[in-house]
Amino acid sequence: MGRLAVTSLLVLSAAACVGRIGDQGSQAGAGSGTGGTGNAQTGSGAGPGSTGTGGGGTTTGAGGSGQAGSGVVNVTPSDAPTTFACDGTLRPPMDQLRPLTTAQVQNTLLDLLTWAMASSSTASTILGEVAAPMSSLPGNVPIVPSNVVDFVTAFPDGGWLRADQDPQFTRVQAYYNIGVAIGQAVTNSSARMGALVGSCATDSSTSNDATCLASFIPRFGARALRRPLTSDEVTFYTGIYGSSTTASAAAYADVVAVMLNSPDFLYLVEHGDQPVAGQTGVYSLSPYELASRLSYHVWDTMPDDQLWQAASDGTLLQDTVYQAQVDRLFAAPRARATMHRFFQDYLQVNGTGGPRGTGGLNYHDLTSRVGTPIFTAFAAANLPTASTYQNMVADAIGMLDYFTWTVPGTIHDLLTSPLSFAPAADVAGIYGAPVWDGTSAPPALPADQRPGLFTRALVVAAGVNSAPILKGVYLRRYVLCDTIGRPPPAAANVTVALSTTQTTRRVTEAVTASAACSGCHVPYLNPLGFATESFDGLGRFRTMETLYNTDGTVATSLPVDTTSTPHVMMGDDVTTAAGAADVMRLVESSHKPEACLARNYFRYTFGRFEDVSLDGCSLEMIRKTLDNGGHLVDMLKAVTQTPAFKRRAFQ
Amino acid sequence: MDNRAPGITRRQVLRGAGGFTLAIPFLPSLFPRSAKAATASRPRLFWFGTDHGGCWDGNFFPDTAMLTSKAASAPGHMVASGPLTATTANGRTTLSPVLNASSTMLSSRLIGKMNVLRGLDVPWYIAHNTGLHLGNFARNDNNGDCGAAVTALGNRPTIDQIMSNSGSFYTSADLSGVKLRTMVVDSGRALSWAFSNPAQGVASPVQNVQGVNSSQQLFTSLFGGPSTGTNSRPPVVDKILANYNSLRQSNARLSAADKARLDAHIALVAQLQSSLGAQLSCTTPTAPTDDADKHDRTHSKADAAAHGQLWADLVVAAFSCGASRIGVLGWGETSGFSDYVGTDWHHDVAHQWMTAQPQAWLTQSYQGFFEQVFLYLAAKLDQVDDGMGGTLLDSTLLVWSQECGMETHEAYGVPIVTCGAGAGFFKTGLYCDYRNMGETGGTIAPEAPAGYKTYAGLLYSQWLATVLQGMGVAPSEFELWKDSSGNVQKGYGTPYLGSDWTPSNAWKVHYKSLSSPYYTTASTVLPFLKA
Repeated sequence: MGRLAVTSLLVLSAAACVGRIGDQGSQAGAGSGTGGTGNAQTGSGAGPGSTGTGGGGTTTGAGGSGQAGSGVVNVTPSDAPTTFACDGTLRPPMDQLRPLTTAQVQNTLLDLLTWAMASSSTASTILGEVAAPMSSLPGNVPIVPSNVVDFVTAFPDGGWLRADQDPQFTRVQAYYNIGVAIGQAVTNSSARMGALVGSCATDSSTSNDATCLASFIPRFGARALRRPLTSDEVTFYTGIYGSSTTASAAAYADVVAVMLNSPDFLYLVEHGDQPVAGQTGVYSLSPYELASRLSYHVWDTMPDDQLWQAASDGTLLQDTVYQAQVDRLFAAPRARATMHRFFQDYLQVNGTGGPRGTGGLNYHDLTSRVGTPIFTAFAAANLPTASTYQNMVADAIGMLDYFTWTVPGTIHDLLTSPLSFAPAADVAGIYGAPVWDGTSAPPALPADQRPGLFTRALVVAAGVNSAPILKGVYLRRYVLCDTIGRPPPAAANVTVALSTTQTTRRVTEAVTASAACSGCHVPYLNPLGFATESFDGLGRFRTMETLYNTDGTVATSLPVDTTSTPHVMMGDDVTTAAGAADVMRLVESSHKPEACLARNYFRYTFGRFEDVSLDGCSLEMIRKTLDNGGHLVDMLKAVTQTPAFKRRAFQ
Repeated sequence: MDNRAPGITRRQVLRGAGGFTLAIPFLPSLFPRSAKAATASRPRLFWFGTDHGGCWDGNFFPDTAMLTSKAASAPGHMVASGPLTATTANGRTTLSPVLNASSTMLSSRLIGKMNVLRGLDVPWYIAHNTGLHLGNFARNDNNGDCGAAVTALGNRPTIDQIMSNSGSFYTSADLSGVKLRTMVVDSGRALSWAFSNPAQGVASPVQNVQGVNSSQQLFTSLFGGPSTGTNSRPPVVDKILANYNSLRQSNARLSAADKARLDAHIALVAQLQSSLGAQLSCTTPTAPTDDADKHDRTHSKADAAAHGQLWADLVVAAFSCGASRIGVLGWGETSGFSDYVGTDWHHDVAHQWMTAQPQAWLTQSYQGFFEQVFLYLAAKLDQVDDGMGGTLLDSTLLVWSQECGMETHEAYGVPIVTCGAGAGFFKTGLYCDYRNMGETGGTIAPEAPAGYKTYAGLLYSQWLATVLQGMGVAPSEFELWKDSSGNVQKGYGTPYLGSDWTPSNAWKVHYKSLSSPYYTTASTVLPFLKA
């Protein structure tokens, strides 16, 4: 029996580990013109009107034609920052109108209808009746803004849900159909008209119809638009109703439909309140704007009655009131659902229903080999099912949940905890632990065997084999936020085939030994992955690697080698590690994870990519909460205190 | 082979695909004469894009013996063409291992309406991409310096969106009957990009166009609409548009970025307004009871065929009614048409194109796609009388492109198959080979079949420019970018010349520089194709 044909692992990286973007500077091309406030890695558009493409910068910028492309992206591997410089004199990047996400629209419609109809069951019934147009509303796709070139490079298939902000026809069409359908549904009976508008709209008298309408528009409109209507707006919506004020279900339906399609309903429209001293074009948010930001950030929905009241009376701008509202919102169960979406972004699992693919890397589908002799023999009692991947996601998010909401945890806990959160027998079987019931104390795994979040099955179960390259890239890119090089052409065709004679580590070392690969792989990628060679392709702990023949019989069994020099800090760091536990200790001591987590949370919060310079003050405020054993939940709350959260830049 | 158009009524034409009936209860006589004439004379485009390439030239392309005519292209570069000539045996008609089908499907009539194009290059390492098909080359995986460099040069709208917003392609009169300017279907891949605000052209950011993956949803967009119930009031879309315009034009504090986003949203509401007001050239078809989305195109041959055919039926209905004249379908992997039983087609098969079994699966999958989807749609279009003495296919350009050429990740010799004459612009029935066979090409290293050499040809950008002109879009409407010297960039798609093709640096040997005739004449219609 010959060498096994099972493939493959992407071989990443380039010869000298340095690449340049835009090295054909004479080939200026399309400057589609957003950005321009980035960190200058890519940027200097060469042509007239260009604003270039902001390298780790923002998506802001109004456009500008002409040519870009002579800029250079330096992709020399480099350490991510561990702290952020705060220069309070720097103006933050220009903000851009943010649309509600699909989840936010869905939540808002339910809450608005519950409020308007004074009945959650009626609201649910109505949404059920309009299920067809609701189902046409597309979900959000985790993306990297296309003008952030070096991030597009880093995250070819991954991204952040809230960054999916481009207006789309399918979405506009769905909003229209939803608005029309809901307008009709809330007015299609006397009972519903009465609940929505009041008895004045359903009684036999016509003398009160005008008053009825005059009352409805500002009352419903304020909650739908999340701020009081101006007199011009009251006139506008009254005009939609029509010249006659006689109570009409169809006319009320139209008013509701237009309100549910208004920019103030579908976007977080912010005009700012007071100018910020020393920063031209930057304004503090009004109480209503701040209430919406807070509510949509923490709960993914419109402000509730308490928050609305604090906005209405202006007390939300008082620090104590604001902090109390932040604490209240974070303490509510709804915050967990919202933060789950952040955790998914952080882990780059692209939602719970998506295809297998962690961090945009080519992790194999866990079930791709089911039925083959070798995989049957390899998996034995742990044969994955269609739900195994989602259970792995739930296991990882379970740890984040636990250390956020149940027992206030720290970065140290995330990197070292031996607790298991396996929610089902398949993942529990991989860990050799009991299933966690979700409420009692989580079972503990053997000390130092599976330390922390990034040795859990979601990360280390690469499907086909132990995939040290992918695991190394994952840690380097998503946990440390380091910059790594690009693969050379055709690297994807290079495979790390399963062997009958050599461990996966040895095969990997041989494949990446060439000059084209070794520059990045040998110091920066492979060693981080080798440290977790104590886990097999399904994430099971092992000390020996069993090699199989194609018919599933055992060829041999060899000891795994988890020793490495992981270069957690690039450059001259030659600290060695015996395995995963050592590497996690080095990762923790590097202090990169705190800064990396802060950057991820910033992206999630604002739906844009951070500018480490212009956003430095906000990033540092978030990061610092994790210093000296700071709790994760405090980091989550901290973003609400940042300048980026409470102010808006219009220039 | 039967060279006659089947005598099938419109109602029958649209029946039976994928186990459902899409009956269109209209007759040509129901069309107003002017509308019928206008519909018949206007070109249409439907574009299939599939992953991954990797099909050996010998499996995809017809025999070069068909190339009986030669013509000069660039200096020293002779190109060749000849009539497509099939062989028939055992009830099957064959142009190549991929381009073969039952003789009832691949009739001499359809062959006479096909073209097969060879030797179209994107001369740099584009690797995994979704942007090659329709001209947004920036959407590649950035591996290698070339890919990242082109990404840094910026996204470009794809040609379907250039057409969609062209006043030549869609006149104001056209739009009075158009429900969707472009039908974008994301079966497996998103292939369409657009200016977020077309009115601003290159001053506007470019964004991906999110398509639909439910054929029933697309049917509703084309032929349905929000129920008005007993509400006889006019649609509120005008008020919604006014609401956005009011904010955009107000004195309220907004950033430039806010305004750009509002402009983009307003452009889409305006499209919706136009769509809601459009009057179809037919009575409303019966809604399909099955949905393409319920048939996983990677699951089985039957599901793959049903998936494609449900979409195809909808395209025929849309084109017949004038509800749209552009469509793009990003199919993704064609694995469903093969005997491969694993679930990692990408790694097991596409990346292993150079070995025998994966190559056999690739070939099988492309043949299945050709017969079950591409030809199915061509045949259906060819069965619809356009009322002008021709068929709907005659006014359509149906295109099938692939992510890469014969070597996955590389884009030399991207195979193109077309059907239809695009309302008379295209000469058809041809096999065109644009490679320069007089030039030493780079040997594909190291995976190529032993001794096989390939040759560079003409730019894929020239093909895209050819299509645009075939659809009535003049160069002045798509030559929107200039180089750093102020020269208008020709062709469509970011001009670039890579150095990644090893070992002989073949791209630069052939294409030389961005100022070579290959680039400066890339807006010229490709040889042999103009009728």
